[in-house]
Amino acid sequence: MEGGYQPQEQKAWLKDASNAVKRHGFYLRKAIDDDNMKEALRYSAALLGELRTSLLSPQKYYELYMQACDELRNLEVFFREEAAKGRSHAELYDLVQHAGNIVPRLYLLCTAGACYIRGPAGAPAKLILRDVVEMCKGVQHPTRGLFLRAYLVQVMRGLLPDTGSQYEGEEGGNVIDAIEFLLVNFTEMNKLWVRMQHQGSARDREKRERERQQLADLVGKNLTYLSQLDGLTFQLYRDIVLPRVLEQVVSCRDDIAQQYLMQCIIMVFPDEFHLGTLQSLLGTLPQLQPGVRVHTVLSLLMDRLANYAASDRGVVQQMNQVDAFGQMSGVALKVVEQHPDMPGADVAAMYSALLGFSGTVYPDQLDFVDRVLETCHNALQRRGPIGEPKAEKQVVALLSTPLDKYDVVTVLGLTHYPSVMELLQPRMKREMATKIVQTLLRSSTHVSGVDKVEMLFSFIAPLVRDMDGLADQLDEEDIAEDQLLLARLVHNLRSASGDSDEQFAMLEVAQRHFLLGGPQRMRHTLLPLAFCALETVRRVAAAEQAGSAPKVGTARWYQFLHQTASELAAVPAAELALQLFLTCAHSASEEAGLDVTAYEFFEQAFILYEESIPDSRQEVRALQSIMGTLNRCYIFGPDERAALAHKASSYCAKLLKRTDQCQAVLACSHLYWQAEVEGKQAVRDEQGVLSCLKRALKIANAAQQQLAVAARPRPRSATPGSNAPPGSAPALVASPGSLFVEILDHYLFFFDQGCGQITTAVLQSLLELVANEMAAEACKDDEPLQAFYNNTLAHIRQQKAKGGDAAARYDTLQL
Amino acid sequence: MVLVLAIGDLHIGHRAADLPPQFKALLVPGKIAKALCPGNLCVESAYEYLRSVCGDVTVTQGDFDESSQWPDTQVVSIGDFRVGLCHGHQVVPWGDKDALAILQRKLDCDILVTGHTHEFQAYRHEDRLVICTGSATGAYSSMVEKPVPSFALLDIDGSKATVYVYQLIDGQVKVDKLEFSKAAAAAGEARQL
Repeated sequence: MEGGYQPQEQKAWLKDASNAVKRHGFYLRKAIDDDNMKEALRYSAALLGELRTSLLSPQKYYELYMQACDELRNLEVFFREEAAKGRSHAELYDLVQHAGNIVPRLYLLCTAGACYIRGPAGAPAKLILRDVVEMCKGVQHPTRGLFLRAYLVQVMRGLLPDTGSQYEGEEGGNVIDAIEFLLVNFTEMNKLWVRMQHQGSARDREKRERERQQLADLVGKNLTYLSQLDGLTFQLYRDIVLPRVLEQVVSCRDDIAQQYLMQCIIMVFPDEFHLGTLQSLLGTLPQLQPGVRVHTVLSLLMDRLANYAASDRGVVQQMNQVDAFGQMSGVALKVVEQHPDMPGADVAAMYSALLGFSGTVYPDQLDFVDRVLETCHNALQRRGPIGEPKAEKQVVALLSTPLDKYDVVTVLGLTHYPSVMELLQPRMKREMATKIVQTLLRSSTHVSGVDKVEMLFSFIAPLVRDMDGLADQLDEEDIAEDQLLLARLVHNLRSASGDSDEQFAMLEVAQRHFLLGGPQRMRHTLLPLAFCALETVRRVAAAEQAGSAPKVGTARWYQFLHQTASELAAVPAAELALQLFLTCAHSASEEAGLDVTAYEFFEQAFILYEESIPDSRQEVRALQSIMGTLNRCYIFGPDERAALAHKASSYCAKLLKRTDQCQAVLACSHLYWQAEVEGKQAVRDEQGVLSCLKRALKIANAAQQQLAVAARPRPRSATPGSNAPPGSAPALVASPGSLFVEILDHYLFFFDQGCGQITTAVLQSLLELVANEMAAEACKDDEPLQAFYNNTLAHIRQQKAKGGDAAARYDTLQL
Repeated sequence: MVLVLAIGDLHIGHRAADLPPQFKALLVPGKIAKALCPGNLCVESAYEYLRSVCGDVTVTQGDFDESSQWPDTQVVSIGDFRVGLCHGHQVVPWGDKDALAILQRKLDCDILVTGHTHEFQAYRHEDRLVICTGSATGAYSSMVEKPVPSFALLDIDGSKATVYVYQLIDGQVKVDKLEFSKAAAAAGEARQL
């Protein structure tokens, strides 16, 4: 009767059997205490009789087996003691064979046999081993036989006539006998293990297979002990062990066994053995059952050999001698051909391992990579488009492996890299593109040359523009993420020779591609392009001034910038475009000395300011940048400068808030007063400065009157409310009062600068005006404002105390 | 004792691919109590990065920060110091010491952290301290020829601040030190009043 697999029943059966073992074990120990050999053997046989059961699943049988083994250990000790008392082991060896049932008899025989070999008389190991291993054939029930042999190898493993062991000798035999014993036992055990699948009903097959898998190590132990034999030389391994093991593996025609044993062989035997027997090892793979995941076996082998090569470079030469790479790729190909229904995921995983191997072992051989990709492409192509998630993941892994091991640009240049990538769905192509860019960024790899840039863009197209079948899968955030990668990537497009003409051609390629991306992408990608151009144009301008003009001159560069900024404006991204136009204007003015170009950039910025800046805060900010940039531009003649300054100053009046107007006008004063820079003509228009400052005063006055009209309490200071960050301190709020102090500070600034129109008398009257304001009801309790005012007065005192010319000018000033 | 990071003008994406790895290696999470960024993070992920280095990040608006989510100026109290933060493109002429001094008087801060010029500077001006963070990525600027990547760490202990300046020169991180004490500044003020 075969056992069912109901857990409840199993539990009960195991409990019964286990109780019996315990009971017999008790009597066994009692018999041993009484020194009664006959009884001891009787109870041993009885407890071992429990192992005759067919009811238990392998799992539960295993538990029972372990328990029985524990009890047998007592018997073993007893046998040893008996020998010391004069009972010969030979006699024992005969005696145990009187047990009635075969299973107990053979367990006892194993135990006695082990004692016989170990004992003082020292039976020849060879003979006993051969005898027992043959006798065990008497049990052919899969579970019972398997465990019996597990016990056999367990008790005998220390008694083998291995080279150098005490059991080796004329009669005891040598390592060949040890190998023979283990091989026979291995073969028998494997057969039993394979047969186990036919036990029980078809219904429980899955569960049974799972349990069978858990017994794999019992079989594998034989291989482990083989590998641990001191006498196992490479010759013995190659000529005896491996052929016999492989023969068993192939002939058992069982998926689980083949899978496990191949991996076991690779794991337990040393690397150099594998390298020496690569051909036979690899030759086995195509002969395995279709259900075996050959790629995992192959991957394991390749990983081991790759590590081996990495630890000892001398090995690489050996590998070359046996053409390890050629052999492995040959096998991979054969496997793929023999299993046309092998899933794409497995194909890709196998080739991925091969790439990993060649990447570690042959870091310089890029043609290997290409060969792998080619064969992989052929194999995958026949399996149609890659759409299944597992396969997709594997193909991405396959394509990622060489990116990490070799120079990214070179890998992308391989003939078959794109063809493998082409097999992917658009979604995965995008993922791959992301990976490529990330790898480039992580390794700070520079991409140099127009053709390389073109090639790169062909790979990253899914990031650069809309793709069929992808557009509706991406949301705004995805696209923004992609574009940040691209934006960062732009800074890695660098001509290796530093040739600005080549750089220009490269940026043009990038621009052409980016312009296909649509507004959503261009918002992110155009700005970096412009800044790369600005960086280079500085060099070009310097070269031109030094008299060695490159082919692409500054004029062409600024055209490129103009176009890029205009496209950005059209996105629309007016705010950024305006800032970019200003930066270009500054560059054209100060680096290239091109007044017309600089003026054009300003004009564009002004047009954007007038037409496209949507809200007042952005207006204020844009105007600040306009003032700041114009203050720094020295190239313009008086007329151009006047036109620009006039325009900018007219914008001030159009701001909505008086406080903004006033601050803008103060900034505007700097358009008439530039810092002295060597070799440049600084504008010093005292009248212009003064008129701005006066205008600011007027606006401040108006602001104050307006306040009276509004007649509502003015906020004293920013209250650190709920949205203020922790640790933030009370800050000044722009108010008419603060405007007066700010104006005073600007008068002082230009006074310090030596602006003649600002006399001590002018300052004195302003000081009094501001003092009055500060004493007024509205300002008296405004702490931040009073601090600002006091800081300003402290500044005046410091100037007075400084001594020298500066102090002299402050002398007559009364606080 | 508080460790404060002053880092600005990263321009990630716009003008640089990333922070120099040498800086990233220095900016380990868990050591820095506060980060002050005068502006131009340019991308959300740069802000996220600062947040990963230190949970307490204060940011002001840079001229290339597209989102207008940051204020133009901020003042925070650290130790005995009032620390003012402003990107600086709003202060004309850009980078001018006297113009920045006006801002500093206005914010009434002992230490002003600013940026925009892409050139590191730390100096005392009328008993106050000004730190221009420079660009952490050494990003392009139309004002400076070859910007040196830089940032600063302020070790603030009550009324004492030690400024450590980190600059990346030829691939090597160079560190400078500057001491600033509020006691001296306060004494100076007292004398004048």
